[in-house]
Amino acid sequence: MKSVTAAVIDYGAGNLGNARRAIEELGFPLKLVREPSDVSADGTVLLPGVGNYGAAMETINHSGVADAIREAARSGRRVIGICLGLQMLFSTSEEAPGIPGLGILAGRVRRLHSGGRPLPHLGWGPVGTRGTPLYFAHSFVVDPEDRSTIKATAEWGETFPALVENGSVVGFQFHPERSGDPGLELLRAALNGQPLNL
Amino acid sequence: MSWPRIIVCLDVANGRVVKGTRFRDLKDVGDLVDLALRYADQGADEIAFLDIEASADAGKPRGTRLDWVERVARHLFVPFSVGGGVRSWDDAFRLLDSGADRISVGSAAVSRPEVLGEIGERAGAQAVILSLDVRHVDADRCIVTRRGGREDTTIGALEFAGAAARFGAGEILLNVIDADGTRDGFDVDYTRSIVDAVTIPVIASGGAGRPEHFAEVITRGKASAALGAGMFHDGSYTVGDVKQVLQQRGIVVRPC
Repeated sequence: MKSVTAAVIDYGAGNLGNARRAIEELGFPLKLVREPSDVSADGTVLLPGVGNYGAAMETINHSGVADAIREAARSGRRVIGICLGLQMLFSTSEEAPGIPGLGILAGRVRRLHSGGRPLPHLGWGPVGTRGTPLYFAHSFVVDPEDRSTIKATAEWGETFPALVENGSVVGFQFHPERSGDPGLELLRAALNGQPLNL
Repeated sequence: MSWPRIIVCLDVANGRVVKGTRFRDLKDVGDLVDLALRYADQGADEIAFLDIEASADAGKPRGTRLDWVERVARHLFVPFSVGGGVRSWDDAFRLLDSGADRISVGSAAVSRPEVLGEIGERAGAQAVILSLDVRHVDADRCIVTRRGGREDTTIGALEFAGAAARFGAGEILLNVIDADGTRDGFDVDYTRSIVDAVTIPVIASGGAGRPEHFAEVITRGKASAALGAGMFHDGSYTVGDVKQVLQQRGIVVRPC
């Protein structure tokens, strides 16, 4: 296994806890990012999955970390977003009108239309053609302009993107770090830059 | 389509798992990481930790000690919540930062429901569980209690639950004290009343004794999840036993 350092973005909202420990358990060196200079010249950038879109974007816009992430994506480095982290890769969100997202992926984030089912959407559901069980905890979903970037979907009142991939940029709407062995395998593959099979 | 969740509750004191009926006669049942992993292997969809020490002394706030949360986060790869003694965003932050996925807030939210929003605004509503201990005053009506049922209020449970999402809760853990510890089954009718009053998911708690109880509260009670403790801790049933009965009754669950 080649060595990959994962730079994990800190939104200052206690968001690091669960993803950080999973990455360490998988054996990847890890670096926490609070300043733009923490996003070093190579390695993977990971946006973890707990928080509020507006608060998290304002934190990383203000610190300059947002620009460093955009630059990392432009230069073809692996960028991984989990749940909120996936949503932040897009341009705007209904969760925080007027606050710009990273805009690395074209499209928007909107409230999940659950068709009367309870929201937030919490729990394990089947993802992709093989119905891999993965854990979700969210109220919003991404709406990519380029539908070909949607690699797998899940369903909660409507069908929504669960796995989005565009070149070196990849995002999970579910939480791979809390989805047992199938989730850990996906996270490992994403960190290693390998193909994601769902 | 997500599957109804089977949740195992572990009471924690001094960084160890303990069990008891209505918080009395505590008995040490083992290391909490070992137990959590055992239940995850059995097919538990989520683990709920309740730090009963942190919440026991209302007059002596001491915050939840965190080294065990960190240990769980490092080894357990199914979602887990931590509750007990959470009174503020600072308390919640420390738990999330230690690796908890979700935070449950009980007595503090009854006294000051705004705390739910203070956590939700920063961590997202999906991370905030309102832990609601209710007691029947008549067949159809319940009041909200504090401190795990040791202190009654005059607040109607249905009204309080209805307002929970507005305050910022992303889920309600409904524990009906009258059923708690009986193992005679969940209060299916009252669970259904709460489910019908809210748009956020509801976890049924209190009274689980047999796998059939889970089937009833998920189908007739419309609970999004159901929680058991003693029936698992004393080895009467495994989570797998529960899921097998659910599947026999046509309720699709996450494969173990």
